[in-house]
Amino acid sequence: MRQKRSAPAGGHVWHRAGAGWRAFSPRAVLWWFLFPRRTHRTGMTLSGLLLILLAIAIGTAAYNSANNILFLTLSLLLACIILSGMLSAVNFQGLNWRLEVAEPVRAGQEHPVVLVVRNGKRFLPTYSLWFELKVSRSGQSYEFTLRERLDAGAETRIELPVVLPKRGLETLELTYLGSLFPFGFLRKALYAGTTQEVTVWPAPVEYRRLSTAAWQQSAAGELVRRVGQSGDLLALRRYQLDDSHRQIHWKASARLRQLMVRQMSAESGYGFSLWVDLSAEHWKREEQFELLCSFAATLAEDLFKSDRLRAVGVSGGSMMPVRSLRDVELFLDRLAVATMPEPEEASPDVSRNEIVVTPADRVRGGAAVPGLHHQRWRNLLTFGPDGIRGVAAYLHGERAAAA
Amino acid sequence: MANERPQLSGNELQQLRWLLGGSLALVSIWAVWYLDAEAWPLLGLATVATFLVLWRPTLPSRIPVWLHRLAFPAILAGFAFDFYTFGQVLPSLVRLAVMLLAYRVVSYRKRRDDLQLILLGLFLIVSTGVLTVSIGFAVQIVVFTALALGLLLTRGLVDVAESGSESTDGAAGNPPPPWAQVSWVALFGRVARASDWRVWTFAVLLFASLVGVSAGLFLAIPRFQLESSLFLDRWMNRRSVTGFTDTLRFGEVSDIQNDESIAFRVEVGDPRRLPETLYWRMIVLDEYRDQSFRLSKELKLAGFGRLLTDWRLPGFGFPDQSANTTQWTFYVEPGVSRYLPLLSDFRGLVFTEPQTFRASAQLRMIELSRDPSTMKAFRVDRGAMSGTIRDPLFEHRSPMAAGRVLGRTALEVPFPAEEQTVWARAVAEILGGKKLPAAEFSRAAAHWLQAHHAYSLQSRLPKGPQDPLTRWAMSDEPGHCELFAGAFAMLARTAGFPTRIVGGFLGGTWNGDYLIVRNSGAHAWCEIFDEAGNWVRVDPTAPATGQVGGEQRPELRGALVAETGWIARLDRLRMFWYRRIVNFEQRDQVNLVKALRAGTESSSKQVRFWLEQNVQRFKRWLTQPWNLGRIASVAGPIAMGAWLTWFWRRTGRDWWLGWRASRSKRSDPIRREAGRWLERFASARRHGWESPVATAGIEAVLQRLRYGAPQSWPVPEPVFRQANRVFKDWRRAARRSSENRA
Repeated sequence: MRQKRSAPAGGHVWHRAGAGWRAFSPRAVLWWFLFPRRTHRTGMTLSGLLLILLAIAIGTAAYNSANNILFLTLSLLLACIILSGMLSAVNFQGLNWRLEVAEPVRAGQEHPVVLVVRNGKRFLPTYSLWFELKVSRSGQSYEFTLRERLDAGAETRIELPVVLPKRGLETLELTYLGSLFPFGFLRKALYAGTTQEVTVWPAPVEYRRLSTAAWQQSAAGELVRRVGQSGDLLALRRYQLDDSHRQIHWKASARLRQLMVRQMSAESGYGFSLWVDLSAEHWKREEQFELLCSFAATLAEDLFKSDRLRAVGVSGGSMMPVRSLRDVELFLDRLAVATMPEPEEASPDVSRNEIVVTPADRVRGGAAVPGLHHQRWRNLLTFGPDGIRGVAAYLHGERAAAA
Repeated sequence: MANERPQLSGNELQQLRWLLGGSLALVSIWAVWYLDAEAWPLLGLATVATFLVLWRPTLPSRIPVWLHRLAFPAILAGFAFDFYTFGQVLPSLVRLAVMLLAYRVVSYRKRRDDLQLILLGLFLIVSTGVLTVSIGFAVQIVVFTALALGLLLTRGLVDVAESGSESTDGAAGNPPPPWAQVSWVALFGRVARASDWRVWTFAVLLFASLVGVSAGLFLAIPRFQLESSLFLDRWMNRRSVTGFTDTLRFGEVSDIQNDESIAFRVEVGDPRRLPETLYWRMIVLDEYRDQSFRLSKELKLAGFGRLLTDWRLPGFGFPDQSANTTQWTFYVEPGVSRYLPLLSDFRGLVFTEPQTFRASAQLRMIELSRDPSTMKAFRVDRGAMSGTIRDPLFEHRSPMAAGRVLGRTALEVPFPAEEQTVWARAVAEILGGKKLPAAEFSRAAAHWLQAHHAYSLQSRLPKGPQDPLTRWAMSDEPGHCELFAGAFAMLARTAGFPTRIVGGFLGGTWNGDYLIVRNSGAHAWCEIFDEAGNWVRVDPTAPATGQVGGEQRPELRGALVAETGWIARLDRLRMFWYRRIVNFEQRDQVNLVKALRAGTESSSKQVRFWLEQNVQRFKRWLTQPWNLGRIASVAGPIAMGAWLTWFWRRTGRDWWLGWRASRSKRSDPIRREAGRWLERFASARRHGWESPVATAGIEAVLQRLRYGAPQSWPVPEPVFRQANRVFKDWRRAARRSSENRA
């Protein structure tokens, strides 16, 4: 599904390793060698360990024998370490990067996270980088690897499939950028500190539509009004509240001196409204609550795809008409961040005009739902526990679907 | 990604890695050629195998797996057999390293195998360098370092390129990896296309700086004089190849003279003090037995002290202030002798590294515990050059106490009575019925010998039952220096003068500021004990003119003359290696610091002097009367400079940025300029300048120039001008604010 919100969440902000990183001066380099930043990690590899042991052995032999050949070898080894450090610093210099996460992101699904790296050096390429990406809540780590040479002034996109297991607000943190370049003596990592917040929608689930009759009977006529609706042009009609301005037929309005809108065939279809009650009174089990969110999200998306979603609502708020994809996304965003309230918070808050839908209410078609006075939202799908683990959707008091 | 140059694929990187690994192995194997490790067949095999697998990288896949499994145990068994058979630690270790290296080269290598290859190669090169102290080591280690770093670099690139996928390193028993099908010409072409000359230049400069830093570290690493000695020397048995042992057979010196290689080099503290001819004493031979001169056991026991391991040696004879002395630094090539060349008395001797040796103050001799396998350097402080050596020990025992152990051999004429009669007749002819002192007898005896014999390296001995020395002395046949010296010794002993033979070198040639003494300068002469209690040098062989009997003495060819040509220049390079690298010590370090300090002081004085002079000149120029011409000469350049500045900022800078933009497609100079301004603003903020409101607007515009699409850019030049203005105002305000606070 091509989304309107597919623009990268990271924007076009370039990051670089630490403030003043580009301020390259001999003094800065010296201090960098003497006192690397605390956030910088340097680990020794096998070849590095061998080099150090070799230098110690040759140094010991040199001092033991005062043999200048050994002193020469020792100085060459030490110079190699210095050269390695210099080349490594040069390799990191002038690097900019940004994270691009094209939303939406669904829980449990593989999703590409793109790292754009740019080499801002004048003529020296950059080699062999890796970036460590950490997912805050799950603690998972991923690694982007720059396998090819990145020439000066060039930028490259490294795509990494990431699976975010839980819905909600997730922080992707690009923690470190590291390299074994040039000779693999040291595994150097600089703190990148680039974070990116993404909203992870509930994972889609499989569900069954139980009562065909209920789905058929529900076609009691609920008009669709939303932007970009599809279907053939049936007629022109008078403007009503909540009609999209884009549907206004300006020529006809001018001729008839009243606002007229296009009536499309899809408008004559019949749809459903979703109401999700998140109160803890009914959702005592974490898994069931998660299933509720996933089920409601999946159902909403399915209904929207078939142009039969009219309104959505989540307890704590009011019913919102669905006119565009954005409305569905807002609904999914709300479901993504929905948390299971604590038992004491689960009591109805009369002052906020929050009414809990009980199973009895559900039978009545959600009469207690705020905003349901409007006649167009009378095909209300509500949700309730189905056994210990399952979740069912109710339509006119009947179980219409179950997950 | 806007890369224009092609990327090297994983296979191509693997091919490069293979090439670098093979080259590194070749350099390491060839280094062992310099070492007398008796591994020629092994080295030849390893070289051929390396070339083969470089030519056809698919060959290792044809080696059966069982052979790979057997290889390591077989190599270990070979080492054990080698060590058990020959009993030499270091040569066996070197041969083991060569075998392991060869095995690593002919098999596909993973990362740890590459590291093993580098370590083995380094072991071979360093061992060779330590044992030979050859200047070739400098070249080898630099080339080796370049190859090893290149190998590690490509290894790292390969690892990254293959991370997350199956390795293509190749393995024993498997089909050849895809990269093994290689066309080196195509690979080099591809590498050339993928390369940027600027990166190569940078790499070359970086490597040069690596060598420079290494040299700096070498000079700066603090040196401590630990009283220890190098272990490798003890593990390598090596015999003197040119002679000068404690036994001298007739013809041995002549054999050495046929060798034109360098025996040792000498730095002379004050060349003006040198005499015309230099005699480098190495070995004193007092006993004649079995047709050869030798150092008698008695003298060896009585004259030499116990075995020492030390850096220093107190002087022999302690020459006084009036003696003609100077400082000598010797660099003796391996294989010359275990006896070190000396001239005469000296105040002290210092080795560059601890040595195990025995010294004889009485004989003025130093004997190392084993034949040196590397160049030995030592410095002799206040070394005298006289041909007279005082020997109170011998004086008190001989000739007054003739017959005592120490004097016996120096007076012995070990011939039968009838032969002794022949010698006595000759002595009588020399003395002419007079009793001559030692000095006069020496002259007369030398003259007598030179009158009867010409000099020749090929001497013919008349046949007869007598000792060869007697046969030659009593004939008219030409002879070489040992025969002259031996005959003189017998004549002098017959006349009652204790006499001994001395083996060593004669003369030398100048090469720049040091002396070269070649093996062809090997010589034997005598020392006669005179009435004053001194051993006095007598060279009966030939006069200093070098012309005896029409043949020139080889040891006198080019004595103390200068060497020229490319070989001499190359030898200067070798001498530099010995002086500045091999012989570098704590004292040199101190001297270097002193020289640096002196250099800094003198250059700062010069700079100060130059500044003072110019300031004075400027003041004089200012105080001269001003006229229109002078004013114009000052105002003109100032106006010109101002106009150029204005023109540059107005037009030239735009043109420059545009020109660079047209040349460089990779980075936009306008973006870079905007970046510089943003960095300047950020830096000011970091320094605590309070940010005025005006900067926010200009920074936003600069951000657009830096990161925004070119279509959305404003005209850049006014933006930069405005940024300049804002920045200046800001700086002014910050200064005012800090002044107010102060």
